[in-house]
Amino acid sequence: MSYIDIKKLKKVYKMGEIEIKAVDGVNFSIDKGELVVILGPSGAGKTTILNILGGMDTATSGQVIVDGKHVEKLSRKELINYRRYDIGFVFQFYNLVQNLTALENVELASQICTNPLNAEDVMKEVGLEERKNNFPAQLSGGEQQRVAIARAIAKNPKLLLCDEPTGALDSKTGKSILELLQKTARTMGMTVIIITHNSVIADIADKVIQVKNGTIAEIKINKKPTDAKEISW
Amino acid sequence: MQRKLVGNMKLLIKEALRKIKLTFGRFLSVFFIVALGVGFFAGIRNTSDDMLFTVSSYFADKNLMDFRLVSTLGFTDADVEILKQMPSINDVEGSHYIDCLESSKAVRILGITNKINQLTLVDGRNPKNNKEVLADATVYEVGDELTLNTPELKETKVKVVGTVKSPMYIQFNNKGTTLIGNGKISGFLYTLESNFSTNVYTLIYLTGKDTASLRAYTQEYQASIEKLETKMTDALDQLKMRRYNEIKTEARQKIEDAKQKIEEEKEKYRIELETVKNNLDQTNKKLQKTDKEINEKEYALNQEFKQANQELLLAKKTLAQKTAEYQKNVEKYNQYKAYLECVEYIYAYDHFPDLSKMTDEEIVFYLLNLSEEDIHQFLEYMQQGDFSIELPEIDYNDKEAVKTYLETVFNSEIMQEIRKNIDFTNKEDLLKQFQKLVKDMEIKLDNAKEEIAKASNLLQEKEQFLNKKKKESQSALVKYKKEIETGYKQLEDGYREYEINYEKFEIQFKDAYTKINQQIKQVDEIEKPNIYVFTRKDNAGYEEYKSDTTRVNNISKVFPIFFLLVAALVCLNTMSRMVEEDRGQMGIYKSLGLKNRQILFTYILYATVATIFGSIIGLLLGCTILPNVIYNIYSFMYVLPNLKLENNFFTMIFTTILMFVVTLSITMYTALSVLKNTPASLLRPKAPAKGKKVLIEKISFIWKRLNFSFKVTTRNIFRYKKRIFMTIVGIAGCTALTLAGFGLKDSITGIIKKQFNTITKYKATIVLDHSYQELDKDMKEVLENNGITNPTLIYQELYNYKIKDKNNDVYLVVPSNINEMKQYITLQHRKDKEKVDFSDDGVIITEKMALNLNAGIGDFITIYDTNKKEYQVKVKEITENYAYNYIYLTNTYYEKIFDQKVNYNMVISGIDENKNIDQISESLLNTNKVLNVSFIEDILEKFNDMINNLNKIVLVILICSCLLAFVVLYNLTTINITERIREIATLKVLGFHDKEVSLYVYRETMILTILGALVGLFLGIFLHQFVITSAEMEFIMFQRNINSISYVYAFLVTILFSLIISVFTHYKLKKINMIEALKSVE
Ligand SMILES: Nc1ncnc2c1ncn2[C@@H]1O[C@H](COP(=O)(O)OP(=O)(O)OP(=O)(O)O)[C@@H](O)[C@H]1O
Ligand SMILES: [Mg+2]
Repeated sequence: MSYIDIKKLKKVYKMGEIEIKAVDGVNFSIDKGELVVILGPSGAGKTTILNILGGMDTATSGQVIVDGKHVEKLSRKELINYRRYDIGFVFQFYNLVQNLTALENVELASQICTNPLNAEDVMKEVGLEERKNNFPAQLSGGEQQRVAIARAIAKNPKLLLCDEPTGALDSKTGKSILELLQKTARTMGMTVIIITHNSVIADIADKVIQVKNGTIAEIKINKKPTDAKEISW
Repeated sequence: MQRKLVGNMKLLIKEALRKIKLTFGRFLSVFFIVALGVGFFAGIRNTSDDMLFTVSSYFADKNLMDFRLVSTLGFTDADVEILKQMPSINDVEGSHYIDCLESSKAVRILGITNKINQLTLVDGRNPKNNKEVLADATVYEVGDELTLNTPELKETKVKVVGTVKSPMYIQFNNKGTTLIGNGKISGFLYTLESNFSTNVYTLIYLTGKDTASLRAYTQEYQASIEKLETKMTDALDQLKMRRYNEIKTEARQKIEDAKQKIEEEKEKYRIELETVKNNLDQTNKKLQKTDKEINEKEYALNQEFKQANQELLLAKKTLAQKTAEYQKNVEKYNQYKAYLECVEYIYAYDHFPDLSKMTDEEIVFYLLNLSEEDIHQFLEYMQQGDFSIELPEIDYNDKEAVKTYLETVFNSEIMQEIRKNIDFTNKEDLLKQFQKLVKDMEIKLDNAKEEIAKASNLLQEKEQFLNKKKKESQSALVKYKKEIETGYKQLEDGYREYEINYEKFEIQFKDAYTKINQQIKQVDEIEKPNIYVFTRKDNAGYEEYKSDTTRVNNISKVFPIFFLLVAALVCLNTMSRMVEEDRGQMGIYKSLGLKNRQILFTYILYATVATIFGSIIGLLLGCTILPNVIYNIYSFMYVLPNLKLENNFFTMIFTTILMFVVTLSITMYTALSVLKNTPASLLRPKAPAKGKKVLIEKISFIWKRLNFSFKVTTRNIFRYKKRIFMTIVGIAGCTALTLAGFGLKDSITGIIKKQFNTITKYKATIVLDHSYQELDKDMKEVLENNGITNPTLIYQELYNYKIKDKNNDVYLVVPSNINEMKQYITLQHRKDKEKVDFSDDGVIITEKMALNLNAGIGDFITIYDTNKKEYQVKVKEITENYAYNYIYLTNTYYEKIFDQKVNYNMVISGIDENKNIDQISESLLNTNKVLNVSFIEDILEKFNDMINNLNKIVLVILICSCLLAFVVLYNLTTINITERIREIATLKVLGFHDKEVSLYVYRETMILTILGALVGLFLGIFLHQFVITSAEMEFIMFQRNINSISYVYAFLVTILFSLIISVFTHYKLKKINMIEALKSVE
């Protein structure tokens, strides 16, 4: 029994007559503290899987078991709590609250959790101690993404889900973000799942899951994942 | 090219429609706010126009007079004809009116006119004869039987066969004033013209030709009326002259006729009297003649009797002489007889010389010479003898004495006679001779005696006859005389009567003549008539209606603008937001090569559709519901037909265009300001509104202590300045409207309680049948036996005062007992509740009247009695009062001002709570000692009706403000949500509970709502003041302040709506799909 078990996961979107099988019977499992990269072409169903895993979306069928919890069976309220306590999300477009300073954005997340990490500490951790009182608009994209990661980490979640966190960034900045994520997984023992269609990034993962047309094409275990510092694209 | 454009057009329309579908909530909010703003604005705006239109078309339908002419000398058909000849005059109709009492109420009886002032039958039918009348529908019912106390009608016992309303009298409780009864006309009756005793019209109604097409109350109408009035001047002068001459000639003719009649009568009467006199005179003459005749007869008779008497007397005398002679003869005879005896004696003795031969002296001598004895013997004999000769007592010894005596005897007449008849010489025969002489004498005597007896008998007979005759004629005379006497007496009576009649006749005719002279003088004094020209303005209620519509108009100036403003704000907010949101899309279109105006077209179409449809719906609802509701509210005060919507398209189109222009210009402005940018910059996401530190953060020791969510909220509040403004203005507007609504309700409702619980505490007012100086025991008993408690006598009379030439009612009240009255009427200052006292040098007036007149303590105010006489009174105090206006004064001051004693005519009192007021009223009226009884209970009911109606207006305003509040809040929230959807989605992703998300979003709205509501409460006070002063009536003073609970209500209503919206928002937030929200690029 793995930390995360996904079995026969299906997600079907009904667009009138047409059925779009975004995820069509996916099975995989992830261990605790693993850094997983989900790889696949656009429209393959990566985001859908992640959303279902993060409790933002519901599966049409199949099982999603996280730390023994059947996520697919959770009620709306339980899903919120699941998101609240167990999940940290990082988006491609940061999604910071513009009206809050960097620190406040982190606090926004940490204040709702039962055992959050100290917001200031996390800010230090992501290297933004100096900029913590700046508003998102005053920060660069990378810095904003760091704030977003800090916000996710501060909740001290079981899972850190990142949907193309480097998508809007240049490779250098992206690399630093990946470093941060790798560090998080390694030092904090947090399970981190990163979506990307950049196969280079896959090298840093402990496990790479290839998705194609809603199905798993390949699951590759990286015995020796490369340091994020060392990759380049 | 053309096709392409068309194709583009189609595409753009499609795009616009898609947009509407996509953003249907937003579309709806624009739609509703436009509907609400336009509907309310146009609706309320139109209300006063509709009200005026309804009435003016009613007036036009019923051909309401333009002028009412009243002349001091009345009018005739000739006058009507003259006016009809005027080219600028349309209809002319002469008619009558009289005011009279109908069961102690003053009613006005009018003639039923045909063309002008047509009546509307409410119930029943038109009268067929003089016994049937039409009656005021507000007072009477079909079937009522009335007795009209007037001599000027042919038929005074009439029956109501139909009830009507008249365009002349549109007000429910103000029907004008009169000089009789209580001075107020209580209702109208319409009778056929033929029922009036006189043919002379009391008034003439006129309508103008030009005015027919003009609407009542307009300036054009007023101008036309004024023009017509000047045109009429000549005609009126003509009327005056004509009528003046007519009246004079008529009067003169009448006088002449009367004079002639009197003269004729006088002559007749004079002749009558003369005949009476002549008859009397004749009788007098006859009587006098008879009288004379009788007197003559009496005289003759008397004369006759006199003669007869004389004869009788003479006869008696003769008889007496004869008797006397006879007596003498009898005496002589007796002497002879004595002498015979003497002689016989002497002869017997024989020794005596022959005496016969002796002379007397010889005899005497002889005798003397006789011896004493002889003589003595002789004498003794003589003495002893039965002689009738008296023998003296003489001393027979005295010879001398005897001799004297004898000489006397011998010388005596009888001795002489004897000596003559007897021949003494013949001694033998001497005795015989003697004897013969006596015998002769005896026979002679017997004859005489017989003769005397015979004569005496005759005389007696004669006397008896005379006496009888005399007696007979005397009684006849007495009878005649008596007859004459009565004749005279009758004559005297006749004369007396004649004299009295004559005197009477004189006086009577003198009176008649003075009367005629007076009449002549009066006719000479007749002045040219005054013709008073009255216009519609003088009709009761005509102007009031206008001012009521003005009041509505006043209200419609504030409230709707508020609505429109808020609506415009909402539109602005919504549209600009939409354009902002669409900037990416616009960039795409632009980069695809679409022209600015083509892109603009979508938004214009969007705004147009929302505005036009919103306007149409708003106009449809607003312009029908609002005028109807408000008209119905006012209609309780008026007797009018149902509301006729004028559909003032100008206002409607104006409002729509205004709204359209506002929305469109907002849309265009924002859209153009976006389209100014290059497609590239548009395609780049617009930098989100920057976070900023708020002022409070600088005070870090406070800021640090603040709760996190509060910090967020604070920051959010200040994030969008526009939204703060929008929200506060919108909410404040709604709260202000709501508060004004509640306040209006308070102001209206409050006065009832205040007026009837704290100020006027009596339960009944009773108008007495005549005036009293004090309430006597009898009257008191009558009242108390009929359910009245603690009556106190007052004087109350209706007076007028003027506000800008408009007459307004005020009641003058003089208490007979100030302390008793104070139990029933509280006189105090409104603000400090300090009691107000009476004084003998001024009056206490009610506050509203003081406001109306702008009068303060110490000022003089002018009041008028029903005869328009003017009085100046000094204001000494101003007292709290809400309904009607009163002037309170002491009897001393009353006497000073009015120069007469107070005639207390009314009683105010409590009532027996166990009795039904109808019973009390009926039993009191049955005593015939009171004219009228009214109860506070009834008045309260009336007031409550009025207040209910006003409350309905308030409710309308409340509902509209609530709707507005709703739409504004909805709109703000919707915008807030769409604006911050990513933020919200982020929160959801972070695991915020639904409640937390809602709170996060709504907390700021709530704070802004509270702020707005507070501002609104403040604004509401002013709005309320404005509404109160423009809605207030002259005789009512609304409570000026708003009850504190209303602030709470207004506040809570706003909060409640905010909460309702928050619930709605909560679900909307809950439904937000975070994935979708986050998927799109901002
Ligand atoms: N809400 C939705 N409704 C209908 N179809 C959807 C929806 N969300 C995703 N899909 C479809 O499901 C499929 C998988 O989408 P998904 O977003 O998971 O792809 P992806 O692998 O993340 O692609 P990308 O790398 O481009 O983000 C796609 O074909 C997409 O069109
Ligand atoms: Mg994706």
